Amino acid sequence: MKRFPIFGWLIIVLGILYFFTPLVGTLEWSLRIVSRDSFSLNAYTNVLMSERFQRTFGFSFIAALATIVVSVLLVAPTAYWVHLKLPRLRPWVEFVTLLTFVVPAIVLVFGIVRVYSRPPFSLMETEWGTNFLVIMGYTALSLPYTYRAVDTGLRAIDVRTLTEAAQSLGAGWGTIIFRVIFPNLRVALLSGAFLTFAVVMGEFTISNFILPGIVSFGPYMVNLNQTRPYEAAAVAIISFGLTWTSIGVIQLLGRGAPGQLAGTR
Amino acid sequence: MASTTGTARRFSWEWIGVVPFFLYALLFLIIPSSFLVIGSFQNAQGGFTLDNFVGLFDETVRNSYTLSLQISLFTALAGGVFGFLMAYAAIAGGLPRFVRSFLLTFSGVASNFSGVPLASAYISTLGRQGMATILIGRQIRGEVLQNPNLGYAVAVGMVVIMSVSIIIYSWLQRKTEGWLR
Amino acid sequence: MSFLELTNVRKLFGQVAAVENFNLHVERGEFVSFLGPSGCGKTTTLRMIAGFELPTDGTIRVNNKDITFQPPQKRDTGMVFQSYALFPNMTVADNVGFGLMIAKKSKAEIKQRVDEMLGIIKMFGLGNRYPYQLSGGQQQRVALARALAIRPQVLLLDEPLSALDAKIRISLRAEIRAIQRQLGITTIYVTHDQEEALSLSDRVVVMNNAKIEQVGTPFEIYNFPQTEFTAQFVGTLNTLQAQVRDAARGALVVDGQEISTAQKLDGFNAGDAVTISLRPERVAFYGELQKSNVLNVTIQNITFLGSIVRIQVRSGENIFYMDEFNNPFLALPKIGDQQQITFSREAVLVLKSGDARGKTF
Ligand SMILES: Nc1ncnc2c1ncn2[C@@H]1O[C@H](COP(=O)(O)OP(=O)(O)OP(=O)(O)O)[C@@H](O)[C@H]1O
Ligand SMILES: [Mg+2]
Repeated sequence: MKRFPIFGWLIIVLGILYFFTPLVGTLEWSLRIVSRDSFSLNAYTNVLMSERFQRTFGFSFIAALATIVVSVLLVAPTAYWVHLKLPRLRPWVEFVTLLTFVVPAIVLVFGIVRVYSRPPFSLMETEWGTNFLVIMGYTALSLPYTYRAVDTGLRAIDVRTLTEAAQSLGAGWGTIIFRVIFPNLRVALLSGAFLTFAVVMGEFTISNFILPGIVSFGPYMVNLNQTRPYEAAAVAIISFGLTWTSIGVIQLLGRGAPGQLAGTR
Repeated sequence: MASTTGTARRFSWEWIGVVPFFLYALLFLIIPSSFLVIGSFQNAQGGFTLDNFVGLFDETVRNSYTLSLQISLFTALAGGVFGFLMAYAAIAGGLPRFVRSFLLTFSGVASNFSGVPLASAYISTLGRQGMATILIGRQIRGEVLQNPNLGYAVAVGMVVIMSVSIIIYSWLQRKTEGWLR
Repeated sequence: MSFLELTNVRKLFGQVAAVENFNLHVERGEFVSFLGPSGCGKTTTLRMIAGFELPTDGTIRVNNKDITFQPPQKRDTGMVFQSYALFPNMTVADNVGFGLMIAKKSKAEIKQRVDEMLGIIKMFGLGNRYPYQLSGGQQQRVALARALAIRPQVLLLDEPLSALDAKIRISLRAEIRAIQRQLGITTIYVTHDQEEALSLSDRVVVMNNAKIEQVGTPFEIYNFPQTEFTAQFVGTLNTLQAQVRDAARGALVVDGQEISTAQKLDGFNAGDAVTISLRPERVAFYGELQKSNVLNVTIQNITFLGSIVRIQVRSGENIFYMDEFNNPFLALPKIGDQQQITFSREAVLVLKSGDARGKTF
């Protein structure tokens, strides 16, 4: 006879309570905007209809996509190349990707503003320039996530032999990277991408310092917190839903195709 | 008989492949961060000084460091203990499989940083919205003491603390990797 | 001019020589195996032909063209790896058609060639499977088809069967040889399994310690090993220490007993210490069949190996084996018995002590 695992369930239930109590509280709060006794979705409609929400959310969304592209194009070929040809450089690449953890975002953004607000690179004056700098800053934040994901993916396939097989069939580097390596890193790249997405959507420090006023989603949420508590709660719930979905998608993809997956599981 | 020497043949252009990555790191990570280090050794007139580091032991600065460290430590410990208990319950506690996959999904973000959750949690709390971060921000803008260079020193102090944490983290992770092998 | 020529090829990894003094000519359509123990440089040589390693010295020519410095993409060689190395993200058909797609062939042509290749490897109709849906043997057949689909000038196989189990290994190796004959493709086959090398190849290159020991047909390699290493490595071979008594007569001394060899002993003097080889199957008990040489030995051990019985005997310092075909009426001696054994003069081979350096085969 197997005993009912009381201890196990207790811990899990406690954990769920711990995580979900604030969440449920927030959810309930966001529904009470009209009166204390009835629920309404007004906070959500207010937020979703508001021009500032749409603008900042849109900005961060596009910035997140741009960051993902830059980050993947920067990290994946480098990690692949280091894996294949320059294994001695591996600790250095790893070190750079961890720099983001060592150097706080506030320090980084401050340095970036200092360097790029004077010649030879005066990028702070134009909108194009500040957007560019923000993407570069976001990319720095995403490096550890993207690198870890790609690295795990590369370890899961026999990179060297696959590369050589493709080479002997006449494939050049572009074909090898985009047709052989990347497709086999699909899951790894996607999980890195979703993490990057979550990080960028919630990012406050970098965009707040580089961009004038409230342009991105992070500062918008902070500002909302101070001015409109019900809507702020609604936004929190929305963000949480987004993150949850992202992670769910990663898990699903990881499960999808046995034998050809790589990355988080 | 054509016989080229080994060295002449062996020169390789392989390092070209990592140039973009390190160029990026230089332009957007290393040069910007080094501004801090330089600034922390300068006084308001731009001359060399160590005063800023002496200033780190001022009461306000020290307090905010201590507070930051305390919060981080507490968070990390609580998270580590609780996380461990949950993981243990899910794996060894005889719970159905779906609980496990649910937990995995839930902690998906963290699981990307497999290894020592304690150190990991410690580091990210320290780096994000700790008191020190707020202090640095205000210092750099000259809001508190009208002395941005002190702000730099505060930041450099944080970088040092973070580096130590990261080194311990890497070391612990290498060790656990060794155990698991 | 041979089809594939390796001239004075050498490869150093740092200070370590992985391949040295490698000279080999392979004719068009020939099937050549590299045989040797682990670490002797077989894979390194193959990878230099494929272009994955640059030789430190020497030249490689295919079809009269110097390819020593050509990148692997331009070499027109097909490669089959021990680990199959199929692209996990592609179907069988896409794997086989990959090289043709790179070569920008038309869709129709690719499809036709893929179907043809799948027919050759007897996997017609499995084109839509993914590699993970195939057995190891099937995966390796697909890898073979993929390498052959581009009609390469040279087919290179690096221990393609060592990840498979014994039965499949034997059937697949016959299949590989049949396909090779059918297409007439020049093939280099790396293996450390002597049975594989002997049964498949037109010629076998025996390698040891980064160097070629001997090159020859399987028949030559087995029956006339020229070096002690070849003799030891190919088949079970007895080596005995002997002294030359009279070079002109071919007379030798083993443990104080005189035997003779049919081999010419040019260049040897009376008193020279030599190593001689003797295949176990060519030794018999005295009295069964009368041969020219007789040795007194002590029986040390007897092992049943199914169709044969292997008997370990000892003569002075020399311990060696003799094989008897098994049959129900076989009368076996006991361990410790003194016996006389016999073998022909032709069975006694005097091995060269040196190496085959500087020779082209
Ligand atoms: N990339 C490399 N760097 C340094 N040494 C190497 C490298 N590749 C091979 N070697 C060395 O060269 C020698 C020959 O290796 P090679 O792989 O050619 O052996 P092999 O005959 O194929 O052996 P096996 O039967 O085990 O596959 C070995 O001593 C090996 O350690
Ligand atoms: Mg090998």
